[in-house]
This record gives sequence, structure tokens and C-alpha cells, in this order.
Amino acid sequence: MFKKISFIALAVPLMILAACAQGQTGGGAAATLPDVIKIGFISPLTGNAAAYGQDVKHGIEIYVSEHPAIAGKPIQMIWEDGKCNGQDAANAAQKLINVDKVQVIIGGSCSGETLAFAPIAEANKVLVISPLSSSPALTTAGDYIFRNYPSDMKVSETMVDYVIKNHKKVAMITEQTDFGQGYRKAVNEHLTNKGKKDMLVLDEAYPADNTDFRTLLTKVKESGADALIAIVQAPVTGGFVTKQAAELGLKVQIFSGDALPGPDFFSTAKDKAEGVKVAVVSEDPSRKGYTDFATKFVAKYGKPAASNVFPAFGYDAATIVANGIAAVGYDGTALKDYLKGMPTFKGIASDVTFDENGDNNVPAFIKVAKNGEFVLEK
Amino acid sequence: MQIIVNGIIIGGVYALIALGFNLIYSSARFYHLLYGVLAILGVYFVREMGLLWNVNFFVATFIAAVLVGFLGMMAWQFLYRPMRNRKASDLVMLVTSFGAVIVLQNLIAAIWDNNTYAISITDTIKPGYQWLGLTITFNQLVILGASLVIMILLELFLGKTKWGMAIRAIGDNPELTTALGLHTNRIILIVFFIGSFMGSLAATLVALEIGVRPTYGITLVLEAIIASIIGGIGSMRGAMLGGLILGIVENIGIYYWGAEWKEVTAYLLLTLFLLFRPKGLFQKIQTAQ
Amino acid sequence: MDYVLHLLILISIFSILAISLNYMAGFTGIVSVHHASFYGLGAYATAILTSRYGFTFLPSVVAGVAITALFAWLASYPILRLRHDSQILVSIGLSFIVFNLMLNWTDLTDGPLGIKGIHAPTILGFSFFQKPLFLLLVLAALALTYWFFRHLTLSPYGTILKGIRENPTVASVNGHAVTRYQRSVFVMGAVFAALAGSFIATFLTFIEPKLFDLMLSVFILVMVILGGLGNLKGSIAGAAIMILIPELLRFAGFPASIIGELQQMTYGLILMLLMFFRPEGLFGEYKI
Repeated sequence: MFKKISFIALAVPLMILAACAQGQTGGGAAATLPDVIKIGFISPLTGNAAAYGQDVKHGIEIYVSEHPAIAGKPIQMIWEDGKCNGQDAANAAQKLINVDKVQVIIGGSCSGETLAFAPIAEANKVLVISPLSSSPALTTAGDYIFRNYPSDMKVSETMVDYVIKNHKKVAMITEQTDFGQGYRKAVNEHLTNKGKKDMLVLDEAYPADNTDFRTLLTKVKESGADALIAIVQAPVTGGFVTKQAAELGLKVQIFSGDALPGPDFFSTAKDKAEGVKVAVVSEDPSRKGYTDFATKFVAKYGKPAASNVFPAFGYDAATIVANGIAAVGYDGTALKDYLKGMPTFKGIASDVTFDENGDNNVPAFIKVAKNGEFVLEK
Repeated sequence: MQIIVNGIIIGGVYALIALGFNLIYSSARFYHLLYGVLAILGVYFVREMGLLWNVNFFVATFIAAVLVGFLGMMAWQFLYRPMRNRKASDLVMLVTSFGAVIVLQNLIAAIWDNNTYAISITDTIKPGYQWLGLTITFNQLVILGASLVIMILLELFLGKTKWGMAIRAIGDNPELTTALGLHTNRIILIVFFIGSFMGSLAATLVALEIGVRPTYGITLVLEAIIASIIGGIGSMRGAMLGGLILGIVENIGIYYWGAEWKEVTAYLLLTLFLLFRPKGLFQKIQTAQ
Repeated sequence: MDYVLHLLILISIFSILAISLNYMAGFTGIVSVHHASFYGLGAYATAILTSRYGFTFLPSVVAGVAITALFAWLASYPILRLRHDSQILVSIGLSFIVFNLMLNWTDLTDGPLGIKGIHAPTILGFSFFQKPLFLLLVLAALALTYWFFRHLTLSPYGTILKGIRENPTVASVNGHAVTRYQRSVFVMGAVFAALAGSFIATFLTFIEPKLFDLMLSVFILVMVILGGLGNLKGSIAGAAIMILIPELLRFAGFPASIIGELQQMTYGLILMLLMFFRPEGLFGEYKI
């Protein structure tokens, strides 16, 4: 009995091993271009974060519809669903790299996705450029990992500077997610570096998807803070924080990150949404090519994007990748070197220059809620 | 002190949810896990009625509760009763209930999405009433009030009416009750209706405070179970007290150890009670422990 | 090809999990919905020790197993004192408590950010990074698990355990320290779950608390019940079926937005159907 099992247990994988040995090929290091240029894509296409992923996908689709080939070879996008979680993203990357044999991946959108597959791409010398992941942890994720969207380190600095200038004491509550906790670390670092750590009178995390903030807000009230940084993962959560703060009679200026703006925030917080401030990476309609892009988006998809920021960054990422392939060929290492040394690229979302960590510095702005939408604070 | 008030408020919520659950337990004698998911289904119904046909909140709540009441009856008639008839063990009933929870929860998520939805009665947010430095809002007063009223009504119903006594009789001794000629099944169906009706009401009131999402089905029923164990399973007063205690302890936990340990506090409390005082505080039911 | 290897590895890892839970539940009647917690403890132990403290694979497995065994030993005290429905509640509670520890003890585990970049197992300098080799390694572990429990079942020790399952009173009257036997079973089940955890950590190269929640424990339980309590081969069959179903759903053409929910609904339906028609599972000898 045992002998039979152990025989099968050894024979089967040995046969598989033999079969696979035939199929092993190295990474596609070709100075010339392959007949079809495959570009991988990983983002949430389903689930709670699908809105982001789909918008980024649309941005790339617009680029590919305008430039369907590089030097005569057609581009083939391979869309994979990262579902905003590490395991699915890692699986998707495994498939893209080992089965489809891509040399470049655009993605992920959620930082959890990108962080999960970055080591896989790095080990396989595949280029990764993320159009939306903001976790500070990505800065040190590897040589092959780039992003044209700024790190939360940069965005949070805008918020922290503003808070330091306009307030005396600040309390912070953050969601137990990679976004929330990454932001929390960043804010703490900035405050320490600017010598204002004693301004922070409360620093707590709350469970993901929590909607009852009363006791936490009571603690905020007792701390005497005049500003509250609430890093939420979804607009509706931000709505609950605002609503319950108002019900408790808590008088603080509420700040949040780019996950807060959304219709659910306004419908939950209602009239109390007025005056809430967020630090966001914002679209700049004065940039060259921006308005054309916005028009094209509506033409192709019937309605404007929730925020043009997402597809615009996707479009830029696709442009950079295509330019790179045209310049140095379809090879992860060559592309990596190209991106590193790339002169400032003027995209429709932002200027792009990669620093030594593969990060791009894009300024963030403070927006304030007024009459049901967020507008730039002047 | 505000912490205690917060605890009492959310405790009132737990109590309300636990009441319906306990009612069902007292006659069916097993953990009807589906209770929580059916209850939040009621909230989704309320929301849909509001969005599609602009139905008044209170009317919608009532209609939804009735619908859920019927669904509860169907759960007994088509899911649990056949299993009882096959002499399924309590454990099998529990696991079946759990399977049904997974199916229904995911069905809700597939239809309505995994997001949290908020519902409200009014169009503006009013600050709460201030009293001796404590704050309490109108919604919260409604919840507390509703819990008390329902509890009193339920106690009267069970204690003083013929139906009520029949329900309690079934809980204590099903065979004897049938032998005495009472229509056991009909009574249990009524119990499921009332219990599920209450669950839906409770969940809707709760949703005014904390919104609703598919996973709340399991969360609410687990909180109901914890509250019931603390108070004494099968006892209405126990459910009420257990709910309040749970709410207060959780909020104290949040205050001193941080919001992220809320669940841990609840389950540690549960374990302590199961180990050292399994019959709860009111020790009403002589369970076959 | 690679895809097939990927699935085989997952099936093997889950077979180890199913066998260990089967042994714990099937032979002692403890219905556990916290098995994923032990799995997670082993995974985190290996992940943290290899990526942060430079442990190699085997020592990290040993450490993970030791930590999990200790934890299981402690947890067994409340669990073994209680009867069925209370046991399940405490089991649920245990699952939540461990999950929250993984999520909130951020200094150790980095919480929701998870642990990334876990290296493939290296034993005596030889790296098992390549999938076929990794599969071989897992199969070896699976064979060990199977052999261990089979041997145990057939031994006098196993006979006593079966006796305890059938009738604890008789067993204790015959002089056997019932609780001590149950505790040892409980810990052994946890140990092999931790072993499986070490493998999943090195396989996925990235782990986070969400991977080890209550739903996963239920998933493993369904595998065990499907295969049949008390039957070890059944557990492997159960694992294979439960892993392959979501893959089949992928090809059935449902809209991608509800695939996740459909998969879960399938698990729930399987559970319900099993309870209705065949609580002893496909190959089982013991009905719950």
C-alpha cells in the first residue's frame, strides 16, 4: 500500500519534470522585436476596486487604439484580474511571465497587488510599471519596478504640510489595510522629520470595513485635536466618520486621502460633507493632450471616467512602455535601463522622470468638498 | 462615561438582534445561523424599495420584515424540518445552516456588491442631544426604545398568551406537546415568522447606525449568539442583558486597547462565559448540555 | 503545463491540511473551524524567519511546527472542556483571535501589508524554486503525512482513539486518560497544518492575514467532510475536488464579476448537499 503510493508519488512528478524540461525557455532577450508584442496587465477588474482597474484599463485601451503597433509589430494586451489582492495578483503574474512569456507588465493598481508580484517580476527580469500603486513600500521593491503615480510618501507630505500650517493638534485614525497603514507610517515619518511629532495626539488603527466610529471619535474628542486625519479605504466609510463625528458634536477639520471622494461619501455624510478636505493627485486640464484624452474617453465609453486621473496615468504608462520598446527592443533588462535614464517625459497626467528607486514625483493638491463635489482649494 | 453610553447603544442593537434569535432557539433548539443573513436581506429590501419606488422608510421596513418573516418560515419548512425528520444530529443541522449562510451571503454579494451601504431616514444629519456631557442621537434613542418595547411585548406574549405558552412548551418538551394534540409544526412556523420578522426590524434599525454589507449576516448572528450565551440562551431578559454587557465590554476594549481588538474582546468574553458560566447569567433553559 | 503543476502543488498542500484535520476531527469528533489558524501560524513562522532572520527552509519549518504545537496545546484546554455546539463557537472565536493577531500585531507581521518576497525552499544549498522540484518536495511531505497518520491509525494508539470517538465513557472506564489522548491528537493535527503552511508561504512568495480566515477553515472542513471523516484517501480526493471546482467554473463562462461569489456558493451548496444526503462523505466511515 505504502509502496504503491510512494511509487506513484515519485513517478508522476518525474514524468512531469521530464515533460517540462522540454518546454523551458529563457526570457525573451531579443534585440529585434517579436512578431507580436505582448504586454501584460494586472489590476482589479472585479470586486470592490474594479472601478479603478477598469478605468486604468480604458486609458490603456485608448492608447492602443491610437497606436496599435510598434515598428509594424502589433501590440497584444493580456488583461489579467488582480482582484485587488496579493494572491490573485501573484498568480496572474506567474501566468503572464511563465505562460505568456511577457517582458513587461503594466500594473497593479492596488498596492497589495503590485507588492505581491514585484518579487516574481524582479526574479524573472520582467519590467513592471504601475500607474496607480501608491504604497511607500514599493519604493524599495526592486530595480525592475517603476511607477508613474506618486508614492503616498509624497501625497501625504502635502497633507502634513497643510496641517502643520493651519492646525495645532492632529489626531489620526487609519484603516487596517495596506493603503491605510502605509499612509499612517508616512504621516508619522513626515511629522518626525519636520520636528512636529508632538502635534500628533492620537494615532490609531481601526478594523477594515468598520462603520461604528463612536468610541474612537470620543477618544479623538478627548484628545483635544483640531484636525482629524481619517485614512479610509472607501467613500462610504469616510461618510460614516463624518456623520458620526457631527452627531457627536465633534468640531474638527477632517482630512483624508484619495480613497474618500465618491458619491457614497456625499450620500452618507449629507450636509456635513461640506468642508471636508482631501489630499489628492489631481488632473490638470491645462496639460497638453489632456482635454483631447477626456473627449476621447467619453466618445469611446459613453460617459466620463469617475476621475480622469486613473485612465490618464494608465495612458501615460502605456506610452512610456511603447516608447521604450521602440527604442531598445522587447527585453525587460533593456527596458529597465531605458526607463532609468529616460529624459523627462511629458505625459497627459504628469511629467515623468524616474528617480533612482523607480518612483516619479508628482505634486498633490488639497481639495475641499463644496456642494457635492471636491474642488481645488485656492 | 460616553463610552458606557456608546456601549449601551450598540448593546441595545445586539439585544434587539438577540431577542429574535433566542425566540427561535427556545422552540427549535438549535443555532439558526441563517437568522443573521435573512435579517440583513431585509435591510437590502428596504433599500431597494426606497431606491426603486421611493417607499417611505417605516413602511418599507415593515414590508421587508414581513417578507423576511416568510423566508424564515420557509427555511424551517424546507430546510430544517426535513433534516429533523431524518433524525439529523444537532451538529449536522448546524453545518447545514452554515452552508446555507454561505450560499445566501454570496448570493447577496453577487446581486448587490460587497460594498457597505448606508440607509437613513432624514436628509440631514442632526447633532445628538447633549445631556450631562453625554451625546445620544435620535436614532439611538429609537433603537433603545424599540428594544425595550419589543422585549416587554415578547415577555407578555410568551408568558400570558396561549400561543406563548405553547411555544415555551415545545421548547421544553417537543414530544409531550405533540402528544397533547398541539400542532407543533404550526407553532414552530409562527415562531420562525416572528423571530425572523424581529431580526429584520432589528437589522434595519442597526443599519441606520452602521450601514449594511453581506458579511454582516454572519457578524450579527455571532454577536447574537455571544449575547445569548452571556445572558443565558433561551431567556429574553438574558438576551437583553447579554447584549448590553457585550456592547459595553466591547467599547471599553476599544477605548483601552484600540479599535482593532474589538473582535478579540468579544470572543475572549465568549470563551470565558462558555468555560465558567455556560448557562449564562439568567440560567433559564435546562439545555441538554 | 505550468498551470497543471500549479494546481497539483495546491492540491498536495491542501491534502496535507485535509488529512491533518481529518485525523483531528474524524477520530476525536472535535469539529474544528480554526484549522486555517494553525496553517497560518506555520506560514507566518516560515515567512518571517526566512525573509527577516535568514533561516533556511527546514529550520523554519521546525520552528513553525514548534510554535504551532505550543499554541495548539494551550488552545486545547478550553476547547476540549466543552461540548459540541460550544466547541464550535470557541473554535470560531479562536479563528478570529488568531486572524486579528496576524492583522494587528504589525510589528511582527506587518499586518494587512503581509509578508512579501519569501524565498523558495533551499535545503542543503539546493533550491526548490523550479515548479517540478517544488512539487516533488510537497509530495514527499504529503507522503510523509499520509504514512504517519496511516501508521498511527493502525497502531494500538489509533484503536484507543477510535474507542474514544465511539464511546468516551467506556474508554475512560478502561483506564485511558481520554483528555490526554484527545489533546495529543489535537496537537498532531495542528503540527501537520503548520507544515502545510510553510509550503504555501514559500509557494506563493507572499502571504497576508486574509489567506487564513474563517472561510478558509470552512473550505478545509468541506474537503474533509466531502472525502469522508476518518478516511485518509478520501481527504486527498476531497482536496482535489475542492481545488478543481473553482478552476472549472473559470471556464464555464460566468461574468467575471461574480466568479468569486459563485465559487463560494458552490462550497456552501456542496456542504448542504452532503449534510442532506451523505454526511459520511464519499469514502467515510463516520457520520457526524
